[in-house]
Amino acid sequence: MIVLGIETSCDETSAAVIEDGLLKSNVVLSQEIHREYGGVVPEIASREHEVQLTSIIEMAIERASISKLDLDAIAVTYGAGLMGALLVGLNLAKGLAIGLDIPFLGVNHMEGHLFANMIDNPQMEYPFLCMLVSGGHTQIWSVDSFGEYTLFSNTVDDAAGEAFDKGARILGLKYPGGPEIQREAMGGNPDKYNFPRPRLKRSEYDFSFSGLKTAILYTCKKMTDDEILQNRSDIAASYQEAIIDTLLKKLKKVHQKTNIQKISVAGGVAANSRFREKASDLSEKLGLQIHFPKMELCTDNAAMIAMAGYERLKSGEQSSLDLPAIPNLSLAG
Amino acid sequence: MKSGWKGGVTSSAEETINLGKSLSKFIEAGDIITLEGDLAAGKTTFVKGILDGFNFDRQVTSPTFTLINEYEAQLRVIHMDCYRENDLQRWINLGIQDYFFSDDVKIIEWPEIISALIPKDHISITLKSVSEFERKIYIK
Repeated sequence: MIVLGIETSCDETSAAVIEDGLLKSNVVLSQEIHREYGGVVPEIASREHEVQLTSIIEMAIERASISKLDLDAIAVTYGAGLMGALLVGLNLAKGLAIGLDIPFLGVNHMEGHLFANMIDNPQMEYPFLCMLVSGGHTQIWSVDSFGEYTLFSNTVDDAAGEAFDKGARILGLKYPGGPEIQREAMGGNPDKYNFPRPRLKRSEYDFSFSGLKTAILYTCKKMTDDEILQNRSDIAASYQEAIIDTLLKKLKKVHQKTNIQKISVAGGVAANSRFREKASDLSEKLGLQIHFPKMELCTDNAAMIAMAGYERLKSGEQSSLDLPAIPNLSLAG
Repeated sequence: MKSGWKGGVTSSAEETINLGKSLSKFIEAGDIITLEGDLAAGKTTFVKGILDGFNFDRQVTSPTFTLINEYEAQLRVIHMDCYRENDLQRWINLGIQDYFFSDDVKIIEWPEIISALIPKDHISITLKSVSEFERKIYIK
């Protein structure tokens, strides 16, 4: 079975082809690339999903060495995301499905993230925990089987990736802040500044990062610009450590609660090398198996949408053509 | 918006939430509220309070990366954040003007970048950090 996946929920315009669970192609055009090149490279000159999506789909089909007529189904993100952005993918997917007379499947973006790891780690078995750490989300899910998910942890304010970004801004570093903080933190002393690792009264599994943002701001406000510059790698290292400690502390708690040993990580923060190092240490200590999918599968992409669509198709599902885009679509209560 | 809401000075996140909650009683369908204030001024915390006042019991998180969060509360609330996306054209492509002329309540963080698109009759609220924990919150 060959499934075309389409993802346009926020910044990325992406299309991918999955054949019998194997990834054939995954083309991702990021709004960040647009920003970087600012229209210099003609094929990425336009920032709009609607302008780019058709050629991205053609590229995905071509790279998979198939033709449109080989497709057995179209899977597309129908939520959560931005209404205007979702509609571009959803409408094109419906049109293609009608034109090719094949099934169409609406996929929950978050479900896609949960299945991204299965693409390059097909031996992953249920149940597993999926930790999604990006600019927009910080969550830990347990995936008990296909379609059965429990949300254990969520941020109550800012996401971890956002904490990296805003911390970088406060330190006068560039955007995106994640890689900048990581670079600055190298050689810095992670114990020099004592940033908070908040424990929440209401839920011991949830994350909160907005207090950390306030803490780094006021640490810097007490310093002159020169002092900040002199201590910047220590501040960055201590700040990064506080974010990572908080992430891993909650992961450990969810593991202890569920006794699930297998863990998959998704989201842009998975690229942080200090996070990987400390996550691997924790896994070794607790006897966990932790899997970091390839970065292109960690961030928003259509491969994961095609994969989740493929799983749904296998279980005999398909969506009705009147399926609407749902910006605040949730996966579990 | 109904008149009469008095801002105030808060000295904790909880108090900022409570002040946001007090504002929700004055908000009417279709209102557009802009929130201006520096990083860590408590804008998202304040929105949490407004949603709390609309009996919304799910998580309210920062829209910095997601750009727009929609909440089905007593009134439908559209929570936008222009911090990360400074390309006006992208906001237009996302249909931001359709939101402005709907009955939903629109709350906009970092509104400066799209100020040319925001209808004139909006309510502008400022959040100022007085100290690490104190915030002064008032209608401009």
